[in-house]
Amino acid sequence: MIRYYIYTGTDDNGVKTELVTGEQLSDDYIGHHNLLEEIFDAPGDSVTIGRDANGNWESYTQADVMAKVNAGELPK
Amino acid sequence: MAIFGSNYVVGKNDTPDATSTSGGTDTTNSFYRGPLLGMGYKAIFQTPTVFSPSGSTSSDFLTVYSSGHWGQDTMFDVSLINTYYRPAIVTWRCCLQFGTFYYHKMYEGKNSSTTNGAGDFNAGSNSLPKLQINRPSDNASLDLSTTDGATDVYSHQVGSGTYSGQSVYKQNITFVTGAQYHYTMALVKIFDGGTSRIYFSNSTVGNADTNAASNGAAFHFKTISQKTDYHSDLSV
Repeated sequence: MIRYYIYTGTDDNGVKTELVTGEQLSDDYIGHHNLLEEIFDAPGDSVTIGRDANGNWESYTQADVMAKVNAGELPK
Repeated sequence: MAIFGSNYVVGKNDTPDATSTSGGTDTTNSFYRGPLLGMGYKAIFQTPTVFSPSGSTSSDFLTVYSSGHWGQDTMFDVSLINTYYRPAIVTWRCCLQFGTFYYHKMYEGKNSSTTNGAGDFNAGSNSLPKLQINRPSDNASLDLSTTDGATDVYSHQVGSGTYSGQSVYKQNITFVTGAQYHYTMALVKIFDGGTSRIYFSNSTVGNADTNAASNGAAFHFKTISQKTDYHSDLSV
């Protein structure tokens, strides 16, 4: 299992931000940047995560990534 | 034959990053990689790897503090390393001297000083990570360029005459990933000279400012959890 900490918010310039990391940020950092924290646990055989068509988080295996690259949904 | 019989050059053991033959990688956590005194570094720290599936993203990972006393000039290298989905390394040598931030682009591979991306190692990243300095009062930022530079426009005074009669300044530093799914971490290599006092993510910005105002130069790693095996780990 791979745990992802996902942080979303709006930066000082009004631009939406999204940060994914494997280590939980501190309360001070979250508060300072006005972020929302979300935790997503992906299977150990996955290689990365993304959002599905409904905006929910999902994990991808390498085969999933290759399929998305071949479909032009992700860069090569 | 043992070439290095102790922890003289070699750092500490890391855990595997779970990179597999099928591609992909874990989101590697922060790490204290040891002093590497034989290589001239006082300490080396690695931030957590960050990315965004939607586009580039930024990490407000470091604040450095410096006072006007001799020996209080924080001197360090920052390498931004892409680990996924294509590798790249970009490095700057930096120093905060009182309120002036000095930066020089380092050569990691590409030998062209006249084009954007000069000196970078780029093995297929379609865009490279950037290092920024940020002004605390209004978050105005400057992308560090390939041209050597020095500026006091983006630093902030945290104490006036508060450290043995000298003022103390700080400089916020952020890195920005190149594009969607670019996994990027910062490797910060601190040189002897300056200071080895370090605050971690369990210290608040306000408390670090107050402590540095009274005690002088320091580093604040805002995304690295406290590493108690480091000799000067501070919690304020």
